[in-house]
Amino acid sequence: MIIIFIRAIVLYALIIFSIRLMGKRQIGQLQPSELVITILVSNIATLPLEDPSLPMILGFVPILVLVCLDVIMSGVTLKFRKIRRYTSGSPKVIIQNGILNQQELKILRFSIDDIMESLHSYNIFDISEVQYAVVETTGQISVYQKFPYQNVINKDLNIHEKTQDPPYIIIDDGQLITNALSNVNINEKWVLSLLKEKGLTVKDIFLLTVSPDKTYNIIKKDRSK
Amino acid sequence: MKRVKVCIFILVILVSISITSLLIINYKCDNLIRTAVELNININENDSANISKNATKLKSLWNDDIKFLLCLIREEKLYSIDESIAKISSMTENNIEELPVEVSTLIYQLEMIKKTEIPYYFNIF
Repeated sequence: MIIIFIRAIVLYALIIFSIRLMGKRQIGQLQPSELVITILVSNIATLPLEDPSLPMILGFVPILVLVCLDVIMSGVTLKFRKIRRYTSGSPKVIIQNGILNQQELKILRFSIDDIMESLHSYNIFDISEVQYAVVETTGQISVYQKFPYQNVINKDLNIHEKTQDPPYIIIDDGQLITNALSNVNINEKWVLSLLKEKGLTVKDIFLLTVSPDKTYNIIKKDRSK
Repeated sequence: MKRVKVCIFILVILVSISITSLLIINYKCDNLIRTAVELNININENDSANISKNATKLKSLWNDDIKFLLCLIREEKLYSIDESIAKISSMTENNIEELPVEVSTLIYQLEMIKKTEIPYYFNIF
């Protein structure tokens, strides 16, 4: 029992390390090769846990080899476009100027329901509104609407406001995040004097956000329970 | 590119570990086989003093090696060898007639361990 427990901890650490090694791209958008690696790694990791007679190294080696090969392959495909086309495929245009490319849909084995479902997520219910739609290598559909159907933006209305960073979290659940202070050009003293002014301490705050223009939002901790 | 370099480094380490472990397994199995062959010769020559000496040597070699081999090879593969060595050491004291068979079995099992660890095409596919 204790062996399984220790093995679980070690494998957990190894998988976290492996996923971190693969990079953030892994979590958000799985390329075909990354999907294969994720499935394989999760399966291999269970083997030494299920079977204590199996040496752990027999689980370690394939996990690390697969992850390393995936990272090396992604490094190689960055340099060689041709290899990338073979390993990840290439984006396919399925709608152009409101016209569906049925041939491409057949090749991709996409039904009209799949397309409509994706268009609905962009708040589009009529294909003729679409100027250009493309199936990315991850299988996600990206849509570019025709000009008359595009949303009006500030630039169209000639509204000129200085762009600034969003507010930063300065206190998170009673803990001062010192790393974030420099982002909004404040220091610990500024925060403490602000809290003193309000009759509060850092421990009393659930969330404090500060914008670069020094506007702030304080949410106090709920101490009712 | 830093990740790629780290991965290449890890792969190099893994390849080195794999080759080293293969060489160590081969070396340890060869040592055991050599002692078992010597034991077989002793049995054929009816040299009882050397029979018990080599049987003890075989057992102590195995006791040292099994700790390392357990980290690299499935337990089931090692259990049968462990059983054979236990039988051999008890047979040297009581039942010498069946000893050659048991020693031959042990040699065969050790050869099998060696064979299954070397990346021949039949092991890979």
